[in-house]
Formats: sequence, C-alpha cells, structure tokens
Amino acid sequence: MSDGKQALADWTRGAEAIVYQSCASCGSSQYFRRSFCCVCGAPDPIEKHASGEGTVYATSQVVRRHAGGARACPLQHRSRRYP
Amino acid sequence: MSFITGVGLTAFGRHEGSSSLDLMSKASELAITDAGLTRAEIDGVLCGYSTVAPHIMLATVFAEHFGIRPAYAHAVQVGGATGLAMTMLAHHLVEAGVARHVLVASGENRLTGQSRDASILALAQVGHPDYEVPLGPTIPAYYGLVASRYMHEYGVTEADLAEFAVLMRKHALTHPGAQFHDPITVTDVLESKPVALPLKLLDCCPVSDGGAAFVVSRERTGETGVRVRGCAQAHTHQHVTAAPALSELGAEIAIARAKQAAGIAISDVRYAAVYDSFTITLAMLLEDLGLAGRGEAAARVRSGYFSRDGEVPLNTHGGLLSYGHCGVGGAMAHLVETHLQMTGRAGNRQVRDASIALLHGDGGVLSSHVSMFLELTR
Repeated sequence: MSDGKQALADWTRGAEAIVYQSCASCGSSQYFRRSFCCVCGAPDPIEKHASGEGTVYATSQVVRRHAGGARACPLQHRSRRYP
Repeated sequence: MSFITGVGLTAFGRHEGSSSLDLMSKASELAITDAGLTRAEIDGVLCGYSTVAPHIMLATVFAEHFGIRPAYAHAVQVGGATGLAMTMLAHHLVEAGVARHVLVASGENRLTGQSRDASILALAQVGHPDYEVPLGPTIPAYYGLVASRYMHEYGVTEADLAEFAVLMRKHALTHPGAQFHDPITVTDVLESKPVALPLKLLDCCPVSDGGAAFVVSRERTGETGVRVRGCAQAHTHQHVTAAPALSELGAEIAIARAKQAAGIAISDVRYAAVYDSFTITLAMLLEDLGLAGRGEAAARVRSGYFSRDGEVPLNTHGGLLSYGHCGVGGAMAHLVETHLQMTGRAGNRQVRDASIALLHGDGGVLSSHVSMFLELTR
C-alpha cells in the first residue's frame, strides 16, 4: 500500500467514488495511489474524482459456488472428471 | 556458451504423500543422471517456489534435503515465467564462470498437499491487494478479462480458443506422464462448466502435483549438445489493472530482444514450447511471438501447423492444459519436452526436426515474459 496521504475517500475505503491521481509536474495520470508520480517521480500527485463516465474495456462473468456453504469454490478442476 | 545437459520430469497429477521437496528431488535425480553427472559435480542450485511449503530460503532447504553443498544457490520467483527465468540466469552464471553445472529444480504437491481453495487463494494474490483482490477475482477471472478484450479486438471466438485445448489434449494422449488421457472435442470445451467467461473449465489448466529439473552446464556432457542460443525478458506491469494495451504487452518486447540476442528469426524455429495456462494465453502468445498472424493462431491449429507432424510442433507433451500445472515445474516440463525432442528421445511423440526451438514463459497476468532460443549442436 502507498504511504501517500489520501485526501479523497474512494471505493477501496468504502466510499462510492473512483479516485485517481494526476501529476502537476508531467501531467501523467495514475490509478493506484502512490506518494509520487510513477512516470517522472515528482512527489504528491493531486487526487481527483473520476467523472463516472467511461467505456467498458473488458468483461468476465465469474461463476463460483455459493460462498455461504462450507467452502467457497470457484473452480472445480477435480471435483468432476474431464470428459 | 551454455548447454542444457540433462533433464528430468515426473508424471503430473496426483502424487499422494510426496512433499514439494520429494518431487524436486525426484526430478533432480533424473536430470543429474541424464546429464551423466554426479550430485557432487553440481555447484549451483536455482529453484522456484512452492505455494504448499513457502520458505524464505527454499534453495538451501532443498540443497540440504537433496544432499549437496553448492557454491551458489537461491530461489527465483517470477510466477509462471520462473522456469525460463532460472534457465536464463543459469545460462549467464555458467557463461560468467560462477558455476560449472547449475541444477534448476522445481516441484510442488499443489494438488494433494493443500485444498483447492488454498491453491486458488494463493494464486489470486498476484492481484493488487487494495484494488483487485478485495473484489474476489481468481486467476481465471483476470485472464477472462484479457480474453474478452482480445476476442473483441481480433475477432477470435470461443470455438477458436477451444482448438488449443483440443490440441494440447491430443498431444497429452501420447505421453504416459500427462494428467489427462481422455480425448476431448471443441464441443466438449464449449460445453464445459463456466469458470470465468469466456473461459470455461477446459480452457483452464488444472492444478497438479509434479516436479521438473534440468542441468545447465558450461560444456556439453554428451555427444549431442542443446545450446542456449539467446534469451531475453520483459516486465511491463504486475496487475492487470495496470497492464498496457494488448499491442504493447511484454511478449513482443521479450521476443524482439531474444531474436537480437540469438541472431535467429521466427522462420528458423522448428519447435515451439509456449506457456499455456489458459487457451487465451496460448493464442495470444503465439501471435505476439510471431508464430501466427494476429487472430490467426486458431486457424493454424486447425490446419495442423502446430501438430506433431506440422511445420512447428507445439508443446508435444500436452502443455499446462493437459500434461498439467504444478506451479514452477509446469512450464519447466515444456523445456524438458523440448530437450527430448531436440535430442531425438521423444519416442512416439518424436517430431522430424527440432533443431531450433523457441520457448516462452509468462508470469502473473501477462506481466513477466521470458523468451529463449535453444539450438542443437553436434
């Protein structure tokens, strides 16, 4: 986890928001919180709220056994034989 | 120069009662014997990791267990790329004169040594601890995302991906050590249980017990030499959330560097050993490496290009998808099979010509890549 100061709460802290960081020095954006810009190394990137607008890039539907039972078991490679 | 002088591989599947160290030892014994060496002649040890028995000093734990006192030893961790990364390091170590005979070993009782949930949980930790893991993804989920995007961009279909599973199973049928020996069809793959759509059960490699090892030496120890001609790596990201665009992934960077290091073109390649954790992994890597045009790998499978008697036979032992996947040893099996093919010892799986081979490994979610060319010298 980053040691950077976080001003804005986001979904990883339970808030309904997506937050990213923007570098005042080189203008790069980054999603994972850090105390520095990972492109140019400048300290203290500015935190910004994402607008909420976007384009879906990729999807996957994950199918797993209901986790309420004794075992949460998303994959069953060996619980059945391959045909 | 460096040579792969000996190889060892256990069967993959269930090894009830065998520890990770047992499987590493078994494969190592086979590899050292194959090289015509004694264990006292091994002066370097590189090993992978075991999710079943994690240790901060696995190479020394193994060396003590196996009964050797190397001059150089440590573990290496690059996920699925570990086997080839160790081979690359061993190549440089023997070239630099640090060691004469480096034993590269890995083994894991991943199937019987821990619950399936524990395996899945351990592997899912390659995800970002704050931004990905809390959402509950699995490794197939990460690759499912990649698959959906790749299919969208290049017009690849689920039936196309199924071809890779069918080919790997067809190859596994001829290897007694493979985990799966029942033939499958494209329809079987398409109708198999959904895991992380578009990936279904038969698009995914299994969890296995097994071990693999080889010896990398400065000089050849037999008449036939399998020489490391050149190799290279590329590491573009760790987490899929931070991955570059599909056209900028590490496989293309690694293969470009390896071609330069080896002075070899893809058209020279006679045998291919490519990481196949999922059908999408194999499809993408074949195209990234230039073994097929973009979106055209499945058509090459259908035309027999990658079959035992095709232009570039691929993973003739059955790959991770059907020989099995025991962690680091999984991709090392690709190199063992390549060695057997190059030295004419693959029995009923023997291809006509494996004089120049291309190997490629991938760790994480297409995060870490190692490309390597091996060349037969007489």
